[in-house]
Amino acid sequence: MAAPAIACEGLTKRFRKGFRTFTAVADLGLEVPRGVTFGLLGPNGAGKTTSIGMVLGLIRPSAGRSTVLGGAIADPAIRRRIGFVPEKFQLPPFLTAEEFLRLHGQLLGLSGADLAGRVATRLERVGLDARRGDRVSGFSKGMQQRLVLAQALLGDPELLVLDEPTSALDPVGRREVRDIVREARARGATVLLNSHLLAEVEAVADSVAILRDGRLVWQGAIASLAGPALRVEARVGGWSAALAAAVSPLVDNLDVGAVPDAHGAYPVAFVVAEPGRVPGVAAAIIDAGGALHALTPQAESLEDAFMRLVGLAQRPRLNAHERADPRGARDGGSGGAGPEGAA
Amino acid sequence: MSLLALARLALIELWRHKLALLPIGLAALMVLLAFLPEGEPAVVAADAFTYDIGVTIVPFFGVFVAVLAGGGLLAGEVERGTALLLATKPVSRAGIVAGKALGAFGFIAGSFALWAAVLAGVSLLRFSPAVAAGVGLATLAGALVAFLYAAIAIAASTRLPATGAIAAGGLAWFAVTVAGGVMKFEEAANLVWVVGAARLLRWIIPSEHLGAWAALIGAGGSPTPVQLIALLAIPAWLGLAAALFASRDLG
Repeated sequence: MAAPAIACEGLTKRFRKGFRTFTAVADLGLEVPRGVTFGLLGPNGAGKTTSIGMVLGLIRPSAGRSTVLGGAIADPAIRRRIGFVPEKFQLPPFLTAEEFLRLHGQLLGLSGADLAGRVATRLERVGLDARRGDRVSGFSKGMQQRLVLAQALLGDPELLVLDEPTSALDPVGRREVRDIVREARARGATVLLNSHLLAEVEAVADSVAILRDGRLVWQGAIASLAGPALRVEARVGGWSAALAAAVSPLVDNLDVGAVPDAHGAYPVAFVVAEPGRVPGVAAAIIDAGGALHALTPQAESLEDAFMRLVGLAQRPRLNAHERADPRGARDGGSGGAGPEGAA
Repeated sequence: MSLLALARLALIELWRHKLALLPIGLAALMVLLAFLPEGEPAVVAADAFTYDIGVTIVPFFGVFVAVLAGGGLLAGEVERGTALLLATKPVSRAGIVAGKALGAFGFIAGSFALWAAVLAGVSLLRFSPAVAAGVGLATLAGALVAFLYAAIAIAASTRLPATGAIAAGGLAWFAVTVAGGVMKFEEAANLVWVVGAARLLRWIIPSEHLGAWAALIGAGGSPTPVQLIALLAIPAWLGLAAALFASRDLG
């Protein structure tokens, strides 16, 4: 069985600032299997870029060890099999796009027709073939990001490490990056993707690791990320204080809108501890005299799970337009009150 | 191949940053000075020409060019963040330093070759073939001092921003110049520590020995053993640069 694309154990980085020591990453244990797209998530300052830097040998760990593609990152043969897009960079303004790619191709050991062919195809892939002879100094940040992505693809890497690869890209560019990630995955490469854009990670990643304050708080398949709790949205006619009292013991974070729809149904949102409780809640609404117009369980998004895992989870809220009426949307979290119960 | 690719990168950077204007400008000035009418501040005697321009002015200007060339190459990569791209390629950090140094040394050698050619040509026209050969060789050998200060600036640029590295190279030259002055008080008993420090500095940065070698070559002599040992300071400073660059965190 092939060694994991990335394996690290006890990886720790402490920075010294003056007389103080700051721990950016603490005891990180991570395993990225081969052939997957792996998302690295975390709020700002969680230690994602530092972790990537340690794995790639750019930052010396204070403790711990890591292997990449089954070997040490210090081995040039291992580094030849890696493509990397860093988070922050400013390309050499004195080089043309083609010169930049040729340089990095030569550093990968490419030469001759092979190098020329790869430079041409990668420039075309990122939409910069028409600008190949232009100095990078005239490129926008988004174009520079595309060029760095082309650089990362030059050697057909087995491991593609992308640190915020779309931060300067427009929606078209972001879509192209998603396509490139999928292409890399399709040819068997492993992709490590660090992005603040959770929807992007959700669109392409198989597995994620979530960091908070330099520590790993969760790692696994996205499919297993959702917790047992389930957010439910409903539309209920005839909402009353009695109905709220009947439902409240069965749910958490009950939130009732102020404005009924054309059929007199109020928007209601709540969380149940597990999906199996939804029928009981529906029965309680009907038994208490409510008219159940709609009941829609909401699958937990990556963003919801992320917020829950990093401890920033918020109560489920109704949409702004549903809560716009100042006369009295009521928060029914502890006993809940509907429009009729509003003071 | 990686070394040559990095050296080429360094040369392109120096050329496109228009640093080549400095050696070309000095070469033009040399021609102008050589052909000013006699009696003006022009050079009138062969030995004065050799000494004043070939052995004194060119090395001084060469140090200036060398510090500018060496100070920005690595620091620029770090400041731009492109050092991350280089360091994740299959080339060692020492290889990155060596490739960049090779480019800087190539630029410096080219500058000195230009100056040597101009001075030798002017000497040939105004004086004699013997003078031309002497001044050409002496000028070319002056590149050794420039290599030394470029290596110092490269070492500084592994830890300092470009401006700091250039300043460090300039400071090194200034310190050695001051140390040379201090050595005149070698006999003074109350300055024994100061003189000792100056002597040590002149071994850490042995530009005087290398400069003397250049003058010696110009006069048709051979380098002394001490001067040959002093030559080792250049790879030593580059080795220090490689060690410093290898041990720093990037990103």
